[in-house]
Formats: sequence, C-alpha cells, structure tokens
Amino acid sequence: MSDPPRSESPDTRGSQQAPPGTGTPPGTGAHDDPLLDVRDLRVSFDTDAGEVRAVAGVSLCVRRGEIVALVGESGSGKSVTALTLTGLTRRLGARIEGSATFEGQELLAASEAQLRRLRGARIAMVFQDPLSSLNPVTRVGAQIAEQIRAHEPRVSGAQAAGRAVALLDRVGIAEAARRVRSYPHELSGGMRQRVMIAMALSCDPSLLIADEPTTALDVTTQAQILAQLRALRAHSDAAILLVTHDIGVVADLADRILVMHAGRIVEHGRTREILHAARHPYTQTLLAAHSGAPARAPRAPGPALLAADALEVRFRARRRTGVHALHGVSLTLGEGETLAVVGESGAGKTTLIRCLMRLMDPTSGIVSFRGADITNASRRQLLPVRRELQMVFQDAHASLNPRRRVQSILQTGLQLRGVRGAQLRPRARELLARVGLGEEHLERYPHELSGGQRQRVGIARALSCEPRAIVLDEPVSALDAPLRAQVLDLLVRLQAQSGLSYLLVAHDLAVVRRVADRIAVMRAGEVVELAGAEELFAAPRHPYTRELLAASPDLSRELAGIGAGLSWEMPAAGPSPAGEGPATGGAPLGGVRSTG
Amino acid sequence: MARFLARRLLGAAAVLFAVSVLTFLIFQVIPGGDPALRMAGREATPQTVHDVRRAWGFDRPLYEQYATTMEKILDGSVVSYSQQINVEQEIARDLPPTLSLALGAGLIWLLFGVLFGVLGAVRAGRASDRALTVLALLGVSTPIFFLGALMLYYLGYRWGLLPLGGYVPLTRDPWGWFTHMLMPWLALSIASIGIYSRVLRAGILDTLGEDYVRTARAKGLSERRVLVHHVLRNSLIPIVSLWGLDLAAVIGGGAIVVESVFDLHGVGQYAAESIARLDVPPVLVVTLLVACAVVVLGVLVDILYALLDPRIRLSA
Repeated sequence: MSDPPRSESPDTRGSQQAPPGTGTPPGTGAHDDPLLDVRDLRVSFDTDAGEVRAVAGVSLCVRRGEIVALVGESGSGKSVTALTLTGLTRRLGARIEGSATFEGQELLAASEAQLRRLRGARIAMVFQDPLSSLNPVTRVGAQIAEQIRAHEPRVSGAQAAGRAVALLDRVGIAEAARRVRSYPHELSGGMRQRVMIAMALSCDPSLLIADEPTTALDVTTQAQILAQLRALRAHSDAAILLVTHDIGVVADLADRILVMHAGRIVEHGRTREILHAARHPYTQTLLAAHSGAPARAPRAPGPALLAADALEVRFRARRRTGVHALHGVSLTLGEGETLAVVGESGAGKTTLIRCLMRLMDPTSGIVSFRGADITNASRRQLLPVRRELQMVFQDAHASLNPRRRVQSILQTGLQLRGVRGAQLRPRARELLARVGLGEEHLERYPHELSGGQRQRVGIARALSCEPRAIVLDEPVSALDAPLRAQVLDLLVRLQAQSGLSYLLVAHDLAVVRRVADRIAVMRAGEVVELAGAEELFAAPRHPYTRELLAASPDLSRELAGIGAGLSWEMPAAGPSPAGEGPATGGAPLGGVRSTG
Repeated sequence: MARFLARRLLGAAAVLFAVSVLTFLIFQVIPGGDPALRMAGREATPQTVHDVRRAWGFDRPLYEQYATTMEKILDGSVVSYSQQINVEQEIARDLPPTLSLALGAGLIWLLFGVLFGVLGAVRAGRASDRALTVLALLGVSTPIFFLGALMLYYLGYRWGLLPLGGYVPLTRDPWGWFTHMLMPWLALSIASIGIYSRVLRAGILDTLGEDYVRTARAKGLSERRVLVHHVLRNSLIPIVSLWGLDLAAVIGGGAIVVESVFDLHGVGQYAAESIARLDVPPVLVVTLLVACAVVVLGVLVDILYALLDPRIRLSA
C-alpha cells in the first residue's frame, strides 16, 4: 500500500465535499439523533515499512433505520473503518484516534468487555466471503444459536435453536428446520450469506455493518442478497452501513453514499445526487468504471481457431447416475474475435475451458484447433498448440509462482520461443511495456505488486509465448471496478495491436459488455443463447439471459420492464419513494442510465 | 462406511503382505544370516549343519520357506530360531508393558502438548511463549537414552523417589504399576510434547487469522469461547492424525530405547534382542504387529477425522 496523504487539519476540510465546521459529520441533519456518530477517525498500523495510515480523518453518521453506503476501492480504508468501530482492529495492533459514539456510548474508548456486549447484539456484522466467514466444522444453526446465547444467557439451548430456524426462515431459506442442521459447505453461496445475515439479525441489532456482502457472489445471487437487505428495511428498524467497492451495487439500496479514497471521505451526499451529479473526480472515475460502454457489434469473424463440437462431460458421482457438467456444447472462436462465455458458478464454464485447453477429457465430442481434431492429441502433439493457446487466470496472486521474480516468470515463455541470453531482459521489458508496466517491475516478486499489476503480469506472461488466442478465466472478477475497466481496456488494446482472439469467461454480463463480439450464455452445462453482443443486450431471447441482465446492478434500470416479471422480488423503482432512485436518466452514468 | 472399511481392509492385507515379504528377504541378504550355521552350534560338523538345514527346511526354495513361516505365524505355532520358544506367546507376555507405556505416554504427550501449544499461541511473542519455545526445543533435542539415564540416576538412585526400572502388572499392583511406569512415560513423552506443542501453536496462530474467527468475535463471544469452540476445534484436527500414527509406532515396539533403558521387557526390547540374534520369526511377527497397529490406527484416525471435520467424507 502506498502511503496515503496525511491529513493537515483535524476535520475533513481538506477534502472537497466536507462540510464546514470541525467534526460535523457529513449528512447529519440538525434535528436527527444519530445512531452512529463518527468524528475524525484515524487508524494507523505499524508495519516493517513504517507507520501506515489506513484511515486519515473520517467523519460519518448513520441515523436509525437508514442505509448508508461507504464506497471506495480496496485499500481506501473503508473496511478498516468498519472493523475499527466494533474494536476488531485492536488486536491487529491498530493505533486509533478520534471518536465514535453509538447509541450514546463511546466505542473507541470502550473496554473489550463493553464492546463484546455490543458486538453481535447491538452492532452486527456481515462479511464478504460467507464460506470462510462461517466455522466449517459447526452446523449453521448452532452458530446462530451460539450468538443468541452469548447475549441472552437465560435463553435455553432449545429456545435458541428454535429461534435459529425462525431466523433462517425469515431470510428466505426454504426448509429452514432442515437447513439449520447443515454445515456451511453444504449450502450454496447465496444461502451461506443468508445464514450470515440471519446470524447478524439474531439479537435484533440497531446497526448492521455489511462489509462487501455481495462481492464473493454471482450476479444473480448478489441480486437476491441485495433484495434481502432491502426487505430488511421493511421488517426491522436496523440501520445498515454497507461497505463496498461497487457503486453499482448500492445505487438502488442506499439512502446516502459516502465515497472514500486514500483514507478519507472525498464526497458524500444522497444517493441520487452522487449518481447524477458527482463532483469529485474520484467519484466520477468510480461511476465511469461502471457505465458499460455500448455493446460491440460483431466484427466479421475470421477463420475458426478453436472449436468445440457437441462436447459432453459427465462426472460419475456416488450413488447417482452421474452429473452432467457439459451437455452438447458447440461453439467456435474465430481469429481476432472475442467470444464471451457467461453464466453463474456451476454453469459449466470452467469445465468447458478445461476441455478446450485439453486439461481434461470430454466424455464425448470434439475439440479442434485450426481445424485439426485435438481431442485425443498426445501431450507431445499438444505442445505447439499450447504455445498458441495461452491462459490468464482469475486469481493472479495464486497463479504466479510466489518465489520467482517477474522477470523470471516472463522469461520462461520467451525461452520457449528461442530467445536467449542478453536478449531476454529487453524482451521481458518490452512485454511489460505492452501491458503498461515499467522496467522496475521486472525485479519484483508477485506479492510486491498490486492486484491490478499482478493481473497485468499474468497477461504479459500469456503474451510471452506469442499466442494466437488467450483464454481468460474471470480475468477481472478479483479486481475493483476502476481496475477492472483498466484491465479490460488493456485487453482491447492488445487485441487491436496484434489481432489476438479471446475466449473470455465471466459470471457478470456487465464485464463482457465492453469487450465481447459475441456472447454465449451458459446454464447447467448448456449454451442457452449465443448471439452478437449488441443483439444480446438489445433483445435477449432466453429467459435466463434476461434474468442475468436484470441481476446486473448497472443494467437493472435499463431493463426494468423485463426485470419486473422475474421469479424473485426486484422492486423496479427501488425501495424509496419515487424520485429517490436514480430512475430518470442522468449524464454521469452514460449509456446505461440515459436509455432507461 | 462398510465400503470404506472393506476397501481399507483390502489395503491393509496388501500392506501386511508387502511388509512381511520385505522383512523376510532382508534377512536372506544380510551377511551371516544363515540360521542353520548358528543353530548347529559353535563346533558343528558340516553334517550337523546339513541336518539342521534339512530339519528346519532351510534347503527349500525361498517362497516355500516364506509360505511355511507365514503359515506358522498365522496358526500361532511359529518358534524362534535361537531359543525355539513360541514367538507369539513371548509377544503376548511383552505386550502389556508396551501397551501401558504407549497409552500412558500417549495421553501425557497429547495433554501437555495441547496445553503448552495453547499457552504458547495465546501468549505468542511474549516471554512465556519464548520460554516454552526454548523448553520445547530442549525436549526435542534431548536424546531419550540420556534423559532416561538422568532420570534413573536422580529420581531412582540418588533420591529414591521412584523404582529403578522393571515392570509390575497393573492387575497385580496398580500403585506399583503406576510408579514403575512414571519415568518411562515421561522419558518417552518429552520429545513428543515439544513437537506437538509447536505444531499446535503454529496451527492455532494460523486459525486465529481465519475469517470465521473474526466472525466469532464480531458475534460478541467471549475470548474463551472463541478460542475453544472456533480456534481449538479446528486446529486440533491435524493433531489427531499425528497422534494416531505416533501411538501406532510405539505400540508396535517403536519405543525400543525407553523399554531397554527402564528394562520393561516390552515388545520393542524383544524385537531389538531378536534382531541382534538375526532371529527371523520374532522380527517378522513384531514387524507385522507394527504394520497392523499402523493400519488399524490409521483407519481409526480417518474415521475420527470425518467426525471432527464434516467436509471430509470417508471415501479415499
């Protein structure tokens, strides 16, 4: 993390949108009694590299029953702010200054015992990854009951278990009485996050802090969880502090938005004001990253490069007849085109690319490369194919060798192409320049790079073999919105330079919108719709495609008419009275909103 | 479950067969391994040696010798070459001290390993953690024979607190059994306590960084409950497999040194003496016993694993 700028004054005057007057938290109405009132919060950590200031003077307030979104990219200090309020950064050695009052009690000076009584009871939290946030070896019902009994010692075990069932039922989990006995790994991602929400609600808190509650989820699941949070407002008077990097997510959920950058609030206001009249350049970047560029009209596809013909993959499962992972999938990637494959997790996207890359064998069907059948090619026969067919992975951190410098990562591919000796370094430098990185990055290890830089190195590594096609497996889903846009733009530029073909796999239609020529929508192992990007966005034919489009937060309003008929509740005009939601078109959001 | 057990049983049979063949063959290639020469006595005539060889079947082909030996082992009639005493009866006699040693020491090192591991993790980086680190290192690096000798000299001889070795059956005199076993237990446990506490300490520190521990704290649970129900429960899982396999090794006679130092007449000691005499049948039986113990405890550990961690299914 680079050193965030220090605050010169004790209030937030230095930032553009801060109100005048020391410590008046943004958005505080004079007549309102704030539930949470944070003033000039500063948090820093001592690291080997010296003191790192994560939060540099944040003031904010949340009123009863209100939904406030704290938006910013990773490293902006938003999660640290949220965790500090409940004292969870204390044991990380954080140095904390400022004040934060909650229901009249000072949080920052509270003892651990006082905080413990608040945590889970008055202030509940929901975290990003519901799988890792739930104890893997304990049944979910027991995890909920445990929290109830920690705060209400008079409740018996049986009563707490009964309340756990009622809570699961309340957050929309079917067969709650059976599900309380499930372990986290037996539930879907959406159900797990519902369990987390049920747990958070178990003691009827007055403040719910949700830290990136939908980031780890599929778009359709994300829509369900957001609807759940929206429904919360109708049934309880809990306020929600929603921490997220995705301004699209909060657009029709939050009453107010606070934009955080480099440890401070740079802009704040009512949701509609921020979305339509953002003044701070950083907010504008966040919004711009979200406006999907108009979908591309398909270019005339070149000759077929990589093709799948009637691919079938069946996994044998115990005591069952077998799981159909792919069912008659046929598609062709032409020279120089970008074909996107979109679907939720479990749709068979990964199985498909593993078959295409010949990393696994299909049960039946044919994989061909440049017209030659490679379905049964030997490892040796595949070597030249592999060089022309490279891959970029979702998690650049996990897919780059942590013990090798960038230079040595890039050299392997170069050496395969016969580059030797003194030529290696300049060629590696050239590769880095193509992905927009400087020579100084050659000597770094992957962990010394930021997420966006790592993904660039992943792309440079793929380019080092001079491939004709690159299979991109969720290349930007681990990145924040602004970085996402940068990496996608980079991919488009590289394609324009060298005529590469991309097979882009993603779960989010919004991501592929700006780069794909054609889009294949997958569900349950089948391609349900395959069409040009423009055509697909303008007139989706399959109901599932419409569902995906409606679930994509950016596009929900554009498609409000279609979304109304969907299976889950998706209020077309948002939860608040008309005029609150950004339904009427506004310039800052570009094409998406203006067509609404 | 039945399928899992059947599969593991088949695997166990294969393991036992391989182990027995290997052990049998090793003694064929050891120099001076010809049992007939030793059994015939010091000044034997070639005729005597020949007779012995014929009588014991050492002139038969190897596979036939192996088959006969295994047959005898299975029906319990195998005798040692050197003393011609029934091997299985000998082992039955030596098993109680070995089992006493293994189970007692196993409990001690598990208990103290966990205790010190938790203490070290909770106080990580502080003086008490450093002290425990040094102690663990000292325990791991002290040879058992040296530690045993020290204990015998001070606790047994100089101060007369504990008996100087030997074994008293539990059924005859429980207190005597306990006092006789105390020193061997400690001597055998010290190194393992060191290892277990370090492994657990590292595991706990890893688990403390997990998201679900943060969730547990965010739920407002007491620190003790977080530690016991969320951290320890998860970090103990790898300890279970370590413990099962270590215990198997000791039961199968792995504590040769401790048994010899404290003169317990256990299985390990019996194995050591038999190896010194190049006596194939006892060594073979003891080896099979170790293999059995490892296989059985391995299965138990896997079952326990599946009980402790619902994500694991009994299928492998």
